[in-house]
Amino acid sequence: MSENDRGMKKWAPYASLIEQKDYLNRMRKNKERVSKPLLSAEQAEEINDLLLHCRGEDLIFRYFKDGFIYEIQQSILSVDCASKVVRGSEMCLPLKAIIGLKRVNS
Amino acid sequence: MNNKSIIVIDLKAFYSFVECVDRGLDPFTTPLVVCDKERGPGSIVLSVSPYLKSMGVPSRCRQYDLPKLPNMIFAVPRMSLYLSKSAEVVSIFLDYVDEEDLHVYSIDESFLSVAPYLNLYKCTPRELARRILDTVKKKTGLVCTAGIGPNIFLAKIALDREAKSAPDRIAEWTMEDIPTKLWTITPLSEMWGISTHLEATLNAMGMVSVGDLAHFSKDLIVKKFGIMGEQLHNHANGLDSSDIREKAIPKDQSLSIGQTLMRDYDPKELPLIIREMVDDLTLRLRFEKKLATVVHLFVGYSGEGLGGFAHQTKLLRPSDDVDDIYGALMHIYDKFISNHQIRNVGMSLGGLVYPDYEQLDLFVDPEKREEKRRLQTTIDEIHAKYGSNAVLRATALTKASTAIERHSRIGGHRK
Repeated sequence: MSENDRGMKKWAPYASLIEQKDYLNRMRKNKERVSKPLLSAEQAEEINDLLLHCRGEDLIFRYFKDGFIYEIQQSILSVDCASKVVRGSEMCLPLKAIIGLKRVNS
Repeated sequence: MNNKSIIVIDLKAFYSFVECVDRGLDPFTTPLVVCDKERGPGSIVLSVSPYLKSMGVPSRCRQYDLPKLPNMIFAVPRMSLYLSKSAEVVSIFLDYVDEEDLHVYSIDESFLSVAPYLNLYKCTPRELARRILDTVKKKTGLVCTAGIGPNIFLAKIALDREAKSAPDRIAEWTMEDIPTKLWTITPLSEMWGISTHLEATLNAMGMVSVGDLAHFSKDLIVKKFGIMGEQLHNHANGLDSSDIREKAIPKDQSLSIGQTLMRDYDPKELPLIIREMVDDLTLRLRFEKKLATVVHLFVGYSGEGLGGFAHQTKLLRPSDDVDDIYGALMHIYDKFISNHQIRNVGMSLGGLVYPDYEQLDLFVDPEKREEKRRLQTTIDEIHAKYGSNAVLRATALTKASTAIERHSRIGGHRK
């Protein structure tokens, strides 16, 4: 490049409003949000089967929270039907949040 | 590099437009200004509606400059509303281009590099600009103008010179437009990057229009102005090699905060102010997960010719701790303060580093330090969740404090 000027430096924002950065970051974070995946009857059935038939081994949970999808590996301590949660060795998950469940080696 | 295509998009009369849309009024027929009237007749007018602009009201003025209209609406600034609207618009831009090809220049202006997308969208830069402008209008009610050019500079000049008056609010310049549209600009200060001061210097060298500047000897200009001269000569010839993807913009190398006090402060009162500013500044430091190694303090005295002082010192070790930083600043303060009334205070934290490891201090109990850090993190989280005034030092209730007042403002204007 024969032109030797200051490149993007001259277009540096004045950034007189430091708060703008926070708003933009929040917007970017929100943009990454997804809506909760819908489960088909078979998928729900599969999750239910595994919840019923597991024997304390580690399972991989895929769950949805606030627009993001997470995975965690844990074993089930109990399923509380009254409050509709799964108590696991690592965390307690609402049944509604679970969108996938599989055995570790499958 | 030669087939770049840049769109510069600017939100028309941004603050006042947002206020009109929010009130369900038509900005093109409503006399509205964004101005905090309570600050007196000298209050700065932050923005005037397109209707008032068309009547010849200058964009930047003070309250006493405004025509006395009976139906004039004075909107109190709502900075947080404008910032979230601005982010909403940027989010629309990101539906069209990748983060890499976007550069947010200010609250109401962004640059988009669109060459890579023209095949995808199967359209010309002008058609793409039209689509983006229409989407912004549809989703937010806000009106934009766009300048298009082969580089950022020409796109920006097209926007500033032509787009605002174009019927479709879009102006597209190519290299062929340079002799007729760029070189004819006079006085020189009407071109981006030339101040009235610089204009006077160039006039004295015999240059009156941008064309004169373009044809002036580049060597002489570089000799006189250095690298800025080179940039100036390139711009006058419609050249700008800056690349949006370059992102050469350094991430904040330092963090700073400053304020002009509402009255004169006695030197004895100032430590409180410094304390409060350290609280706010270190919050930002911790938020960026960095440590400071250098602190800098500026104090400006009230009254003509008294000046002030500005000094810096190195911290004993990188830190984000309020007491470490306050201690270092007070060290400077006590050493240099003289017995005058104070009107300005500023401070910055420099030499920012990421805490890869921590060197333990022989004289500080690491457990105590950890405990203090946890307390600080908890306070930060409360601030993030419930606002900066949710937890304050008790001194915030004293007369000298400015914390509550400052926290209710963004960029010095009302939230």
